[in-house]
Amino acid sequence: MALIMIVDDDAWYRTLLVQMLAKDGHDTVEAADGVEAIAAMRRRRPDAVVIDMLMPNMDGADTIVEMEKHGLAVPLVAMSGGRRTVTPAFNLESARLLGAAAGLAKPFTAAQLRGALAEALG
Amino acid sequence: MKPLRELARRLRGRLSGRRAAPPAAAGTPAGDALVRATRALDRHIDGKLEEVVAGTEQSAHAIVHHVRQLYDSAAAVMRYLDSSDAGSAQIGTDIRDSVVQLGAVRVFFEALPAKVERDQRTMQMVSREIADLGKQIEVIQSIAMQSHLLAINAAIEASRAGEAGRAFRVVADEVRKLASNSHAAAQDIRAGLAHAREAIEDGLRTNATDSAQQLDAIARSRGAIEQLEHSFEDMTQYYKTRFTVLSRHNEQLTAGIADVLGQTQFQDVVRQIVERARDAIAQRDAALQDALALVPDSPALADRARGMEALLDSVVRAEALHAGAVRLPEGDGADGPVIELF
Repeated sequence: MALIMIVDDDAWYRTLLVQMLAKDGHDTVEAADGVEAIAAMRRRRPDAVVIDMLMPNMDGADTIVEMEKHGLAVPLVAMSGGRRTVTPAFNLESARLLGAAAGLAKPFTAAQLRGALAEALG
Repeated sequence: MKPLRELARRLRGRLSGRRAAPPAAAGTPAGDALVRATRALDRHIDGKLEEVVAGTEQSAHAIVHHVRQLYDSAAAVMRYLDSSDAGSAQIGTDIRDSVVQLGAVRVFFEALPAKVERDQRTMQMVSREIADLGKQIEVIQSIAMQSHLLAINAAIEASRAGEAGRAFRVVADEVRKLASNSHAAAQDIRAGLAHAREAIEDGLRTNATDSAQQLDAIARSRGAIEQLEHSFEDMTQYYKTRFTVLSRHNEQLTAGIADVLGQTQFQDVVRQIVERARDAIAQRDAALQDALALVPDSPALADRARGMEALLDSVVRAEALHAGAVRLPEGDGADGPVIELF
């Protein structure tokens, strides 16, 4: 089982993902935005990161770039609820071009999360 | 790559074509020494040319591999830009919608001063009507006073017996006039009250209608402003994400081009190796040509054999000087030869 970092400004969604991942036996660590995520990754490197693309302070795209710049690149699963213009499809395609291995449009099921993580972790 | 590989092939052809030692010298110690030295030099040059050919092929594969990666990456970004253009068009539509709604807000605010002025005029009219009503009340008070005085006079006259009939007629006339005036005053008051009531009711009706329209207009204004805010946030996030993706792609493109340029440097290294091989072959050919004219197993021929060994030594040393310049990687050659700048 793996250590998975969940990066999302929505605390309710983080809790939901923690429960989903715990059922599969994964350990989790949480971060509310990109700044927290980078700091937490320096303390303890996760095996994979599940990251929301729309967040305050440091959004998903910037966080992915920062992780790589600081030598913290790990397998990534991007997720996005999107808005009228900044749609999930746009955000997930952006994440894919930045190096995310898989993408999940919110809302998604535990099975979809499991599949995306399997794709990311190889 | 082809010219270099062709050149290497021709050079190797030259080596194999003249690999034999001079027939006249064969079998003598000096001649055999010359043959051994020449073959050792040939093997060395042959080995270097093999390396060059292998390196050239790996370099070509690496360049093709990197260019293919750059092409795939550029194609992916082009698809991304094409697909995300829909988002850009949506932002434009939202902003245009917001501008239209804000135009309606502007019309509402432009009409507001005229409405306020109309309301003020209505209230002024109501005020005047009420003031007029006040004057009518004064008239009624005056009539009441006259009626009171006449009643007193009538009472006095009534006390005078005999003459009452004539006096009471006068009083009766006055009372009739009083009644007439009272009636007219009452009608004026009624009319004035009606006007005032109408003015007030009209004002209330207008205000009620206007208030509902104003509430609608305010609600629309709020909606338009919120939509504009969301459009602005979306636009900012949209272009920021696109900028991040394109910047990252640009960095990868720059690194990829640097890799390709690095690989092309290898061709200069190949040129240097081939030039050194050509020089060595030319010197070897000249030495062999010279040896052909000598007496077999003569001291001069032995001297030429040592000269050939010295030539091999100098070639090996020259190659050793450049040995660190190029390193051929293991595997499929996707990484290409590694160039150390010197």
